[in-house]
Amino acid sequence: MPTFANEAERKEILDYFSDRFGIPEKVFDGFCFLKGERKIWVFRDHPELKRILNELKVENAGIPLLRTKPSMWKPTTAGLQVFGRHATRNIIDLEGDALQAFLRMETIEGPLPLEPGFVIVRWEGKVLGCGVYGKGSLRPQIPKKRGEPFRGRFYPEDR
Amino acid sequence: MNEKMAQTFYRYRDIIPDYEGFLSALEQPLPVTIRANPLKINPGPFQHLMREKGYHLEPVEGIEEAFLLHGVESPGSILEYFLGYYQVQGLTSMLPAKILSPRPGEVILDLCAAPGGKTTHLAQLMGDRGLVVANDFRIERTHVLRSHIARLGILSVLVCCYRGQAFPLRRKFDRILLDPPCSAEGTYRGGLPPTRSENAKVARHLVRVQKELLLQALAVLRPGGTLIYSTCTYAPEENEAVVNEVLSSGQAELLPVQIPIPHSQGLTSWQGEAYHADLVKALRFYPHQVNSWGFFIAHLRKRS
Repeated sequence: MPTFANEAERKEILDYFSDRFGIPEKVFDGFCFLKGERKIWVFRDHPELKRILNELKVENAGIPLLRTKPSMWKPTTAGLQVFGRHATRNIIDLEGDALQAFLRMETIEGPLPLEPGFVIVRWEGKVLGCGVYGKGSLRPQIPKKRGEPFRGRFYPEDR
Repeated sequence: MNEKMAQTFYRYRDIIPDYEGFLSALEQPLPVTIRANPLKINPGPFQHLMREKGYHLEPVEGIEEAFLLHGVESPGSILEYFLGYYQVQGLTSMLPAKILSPRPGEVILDLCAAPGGKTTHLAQLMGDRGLVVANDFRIERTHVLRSHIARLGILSVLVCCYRGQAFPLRRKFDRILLDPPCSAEGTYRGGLPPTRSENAKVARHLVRVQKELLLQALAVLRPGGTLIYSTCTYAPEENEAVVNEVLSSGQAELLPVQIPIPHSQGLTSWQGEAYHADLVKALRFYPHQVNSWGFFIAHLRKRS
């Protein structure tokens, strides 16, 4: 059951996206953050939202933005696809073999111009989703199910 | 023509115009239709992008966001799909949300929402600036709904898992979309399995559920609010007969619909039973009139 993030928690979320990806705080104006078990959702502000959350048992709100483990926060592919276009750092553009390998969930060997941690992966400037960079290699973090249609398939040349 | 299918539809020979044409159309392959997602990319640039990538896209007249996608076997295996640029959806399945015509800021209920094609369309039509409560009573079915919401980047949908007939009465909605479980005869094309409604017990159960859902939907609709009742079946028992009850009781009135997609009007009688005269305002879609799923749509307004 989602509950509203308080002001301190909101600030923490905004700081995370600003520090890690350079996404300005104002990008999230007009959106609220809701907390669930090990998850933070982002939802469009609406005057009736608070009341509806009290009236109904809600299972899911908007899209998941972050997975929150005590040890780390992980940005979601869905969240990055919406807000990641405002990022200015820890972004990598892939094409050709590297793109195909990423879609097949294979590790891409570097080194790459990225700070260790979660990064935004793009194709032709469009945000594909999340990867994790460490020890000179990039590992895809696309949700298993969403990536499934692309396993063993090459794109776009062999469609 | 598949013998089983011919038997299934035989009872409709007097109500479906050009019945032979209807049967022939069932043998034709169903085209792939997609709905561009303007929350991520507008229809114009989307069309340009897809053409640039070598896809053959054909606009659908009268529905700006709808396109026929030719020559693609798996429209869910394209990178633009992964990016959330479009949703795969039958053309007639796009009509309920279009006709309901939600406005930014409104609070909408989709009572039987999974798998979510219509829910996400509703949010899209409001520019993601309203609030849609998407309900489906089976939690496992909401997983697909949630994955579409995430992929399309929709930030205005809340998902609930109530039994539709027992949806809480405390909240009143501006508009409601009710696309209840049905015998799904409209999805039968050549070689596909026979209809569920051939089992009389199942058919009776479906009709009972549909009537209960419509009554509950009207109960949570604000006075003057509008509601779409839609199914993908031809069965008058699941369509006109269900809507007839709320028209006859005076709870709702039927609204006329203008839509640039070929269709037939609703029935005012079936097998000796007379329905409310206003049911001519309901819409029936047949595959020989529009090459898509068979569909029924009624646009209702709750009386104050």
